[in-house]
Amino acid sequence: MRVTNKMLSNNFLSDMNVNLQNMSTLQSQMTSGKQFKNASDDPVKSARAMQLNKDIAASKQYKNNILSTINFLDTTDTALNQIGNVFQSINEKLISAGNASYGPDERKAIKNTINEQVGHLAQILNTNFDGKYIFGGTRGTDKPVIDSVDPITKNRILDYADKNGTSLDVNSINFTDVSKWSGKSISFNVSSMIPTTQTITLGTITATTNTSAAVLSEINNKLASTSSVGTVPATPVLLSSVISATNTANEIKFSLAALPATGTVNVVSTTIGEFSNINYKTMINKNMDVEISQGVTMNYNKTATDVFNFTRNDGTTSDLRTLLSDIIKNLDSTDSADIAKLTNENLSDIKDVMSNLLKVRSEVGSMQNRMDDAASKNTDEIYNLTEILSKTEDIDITEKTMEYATMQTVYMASLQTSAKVLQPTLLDYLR
Amino acid sequence: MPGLISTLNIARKGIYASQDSINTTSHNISNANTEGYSRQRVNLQASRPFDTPSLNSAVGPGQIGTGVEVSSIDRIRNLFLDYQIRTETSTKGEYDERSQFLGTIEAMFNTTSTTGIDNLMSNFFSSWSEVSLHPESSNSRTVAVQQTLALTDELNHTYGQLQKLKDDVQGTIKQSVLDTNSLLTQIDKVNQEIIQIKVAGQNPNDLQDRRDLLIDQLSKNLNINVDRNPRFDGQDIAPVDVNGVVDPVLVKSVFNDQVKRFSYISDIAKGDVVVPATTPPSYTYKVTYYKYGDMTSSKNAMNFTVNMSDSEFKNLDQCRILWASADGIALKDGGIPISKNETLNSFKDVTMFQPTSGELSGDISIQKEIDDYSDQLTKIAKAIAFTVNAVHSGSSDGTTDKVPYFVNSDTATYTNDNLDLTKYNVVAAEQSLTAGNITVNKELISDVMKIKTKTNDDKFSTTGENTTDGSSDGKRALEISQLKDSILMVQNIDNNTKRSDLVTSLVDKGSGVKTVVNSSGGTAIDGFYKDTINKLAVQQQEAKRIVKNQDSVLAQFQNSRDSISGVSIDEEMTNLLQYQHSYQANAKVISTVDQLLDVLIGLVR
Repeated sequence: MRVTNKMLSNNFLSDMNVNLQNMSTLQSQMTSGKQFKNASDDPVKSARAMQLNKDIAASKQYKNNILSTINFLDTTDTALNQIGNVFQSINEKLISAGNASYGPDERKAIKNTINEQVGHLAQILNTNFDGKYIFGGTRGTDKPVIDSVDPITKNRILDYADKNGTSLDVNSINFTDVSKWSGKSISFNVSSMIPTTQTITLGTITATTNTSAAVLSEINNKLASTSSVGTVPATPVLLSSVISATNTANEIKFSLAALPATGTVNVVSTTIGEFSNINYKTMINKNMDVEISQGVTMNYNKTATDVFNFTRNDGTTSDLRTLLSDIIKNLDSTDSADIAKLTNENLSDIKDVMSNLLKVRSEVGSMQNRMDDAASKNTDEIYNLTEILSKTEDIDITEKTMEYATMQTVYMASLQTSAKVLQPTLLDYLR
Repeated sequence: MPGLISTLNIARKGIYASQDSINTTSHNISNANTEGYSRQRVNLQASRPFDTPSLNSAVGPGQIGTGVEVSSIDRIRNLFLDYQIRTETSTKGEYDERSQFLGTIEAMFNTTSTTGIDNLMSNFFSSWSEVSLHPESSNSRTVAVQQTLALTDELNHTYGQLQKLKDDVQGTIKQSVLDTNSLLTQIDKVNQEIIQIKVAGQNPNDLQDRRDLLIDQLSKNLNINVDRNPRFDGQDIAPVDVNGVVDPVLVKSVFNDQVKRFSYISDIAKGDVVVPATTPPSYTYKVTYYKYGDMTSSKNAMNFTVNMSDSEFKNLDQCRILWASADGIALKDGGIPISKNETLNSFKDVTMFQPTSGELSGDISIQKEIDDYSDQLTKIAKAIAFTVNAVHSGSSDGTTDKVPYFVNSDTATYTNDNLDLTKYNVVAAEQSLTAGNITVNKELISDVMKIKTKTNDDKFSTTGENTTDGSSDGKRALEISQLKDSILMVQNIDNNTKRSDLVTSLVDKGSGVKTVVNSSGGTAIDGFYKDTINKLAVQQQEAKRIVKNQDSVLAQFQNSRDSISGVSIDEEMTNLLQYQHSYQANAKVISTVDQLLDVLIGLVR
């Protein structure tokens, strides 16, 4: 084959180009520490790296969720511990109240202590963490409970709070606009009937003046025209015989109708698009969920209702609020039957409250355990994913350094040889 | 019996032949580095002997030689190599273009960095997870909205860049059409010159080199066939891909004015829908093209009107090159010129030039890729917008969605920072959503507390009316953050997909919030994005690999060509010495004959 000068220089140029390209690839791998710069350098590995990066990002968010939940649960646990102490001290006071030598003065002293404990309880139940009332359920921005002072007896009353920060009355519904009431329904719990739930549905309210009076007249119409449903009473009666409604300018209030009606009447739910107190109370008893790994959500809060509601040994349920007011009432009482209750029913109730609290606290404990497990699993996961990512996209420095040294040798050899081969021609030897 | 004068003549001829040889050698040396030059060789042959045998000829041994003469000066070239090089150049041209533009697209998608769309999607869903933890805080909501804006901005930006790149590619096509036409004209000129010289019986070596070089350059743009005309070495050039055109010859050796050229479509304007309606629907398009792709003068602009469906429009939009007559008028129906402002019967009449290799083919195919990748982005944008909006509002078709989270920025109108639903039709606007116009509802940017995060928010047109749930209820936000793992038919989304097509129903999976149901056979949104990047990466890898292969194949052929046609300085030097000696020897003969003549003339004196 004929070999011409152009062939030599073209070959040299293209080989040198290949050498330089290889060097440049190695150089960018060495300087970036990554095996590839563009996805097209290695589509398979870069796809893997993308997937891993996405998984790591998701795991990091789960980690974030878990950590802030753990803090939330720690705060909850501390608060429950304090509540336990309060109950313990109430328990002790009740036992001491049974002391036969204690007179009204001693009981008054005990009552004052318990009054203080009620205040303390409210304070603990209103614990705020990270901008949220931890026992408030989904109503995290308003205090869940309030301890109000009875103006006459000066006793403290523990109750759910409404949005104005006063004691929450489920039977009162705020009034702002007639249109919010049109066509809406209200359900009542009537203790004297079976089933206890009775419902009225309002018609269209046309009012020339936008007042609560218009609403009240429609409510009274419906109460007077809706018959009770169910087995008791056997002959249906009009609901107006058990439920009565009153109004002020900014609220509608329901209560038990005048005699001969007996029992209690409470609003249990409404579809009225206003802040009705019953809805406002339901929010407290709502769970909050957090996602701790792909597709796994768990509930992480306990509510004031969880602390309040307890079940006695005989299966009947009661409420801490009633118990506390009952205890205080009994301590004030001079009736020996009432005083006897302190060391009987009340004491056994406070024991049930404490065991209920224990149950709540152990649930929080198991949530904490679950979170700790999730956290350690999450840490492992991030570690493993990062390790796989590193194996996928990072270079082996030793290997690359050796490759680079080899490449450098090749490049220098090509330069040296070409410099010797390209230079001379026959001309150099012709005189 | 020859005389001394005859010998003198022989020496003279020898000197002339040596001179010619030295001249050619010198020509070779000076063109050693000229592109497309093939070395030339002087063919010497002994000139006709002096006398012919006959009865009265003098008795002597054999014929008497009359010296040397130059029979021809040839160029040394292997025509088969030319054919191979042109075919491979076309292939390389196609993949050079693809590799270049795919590289640009790859850079736009930011494939391996931590600021790409995939990362922004991760951040987007993470920020919703954060909202689900702290729905009562405006901070977490603001972060979510800003992360969403970062995502939509990046989608808008990448989409816009792709559209701009498409314009650039069209500019390249226009330039290539112009170059191709100009190369064809040059080749035609050289072709005619060669024929004229050949007619005169001479060898136009250097013009042939020039023609070969021009044809090499042309083969970069499109794949061509060259027919050699045995009479007077004229050449006929036609593209390999004829697209049904009758007599698709671009350069002719005879009747060289009856050839074809190419024109470039600069604009395709969409008009009214065609009545009676067809399936798929057709629209009337006004097509503007420039003769020869020369857009320097508006005189070159020509129009015709044609009815096309969406897919036919896409086809024409991606190709943009028309077969044209010698004067640049576009052809219809295999070769009839389209008169000005003519309305064509059907899309089939439009005669597009669709090469299968060469730079033009690469440019056309890359336009298709750009359209594909824009569509992929739109699929992602629609999938995110539809699912998030559906869960956010609890409306699987959008008819009851009063505060959509994602909106179409083209049609979204606001009154006092509130989305004006009398002017903004959620269903229609979402149907025409693309990656270029997706954005966050400004109403929610200006008041982040309007974002629906609560369990029962779907029962109220705004979250402010919700009196059932408390402020720290983040169940809806949690469901939205979990959309990152939901399996959707992302791949089936197209321009006409509505929210109800993707989100067929919403189901409560136990959390109290209705959310999107997984579709078997679908993919997760970020999985779809990853597939897109994968496809891009593999395409680019293929293009880079082919370019590399073609480079080495071409280098091999180029080497063979250089081996045969290239000038070797050493060889030329050797030849030069040889010719120099020959010249000197001939001169010596003259001087010897001169001395002999001197002796003879001296006798007379």
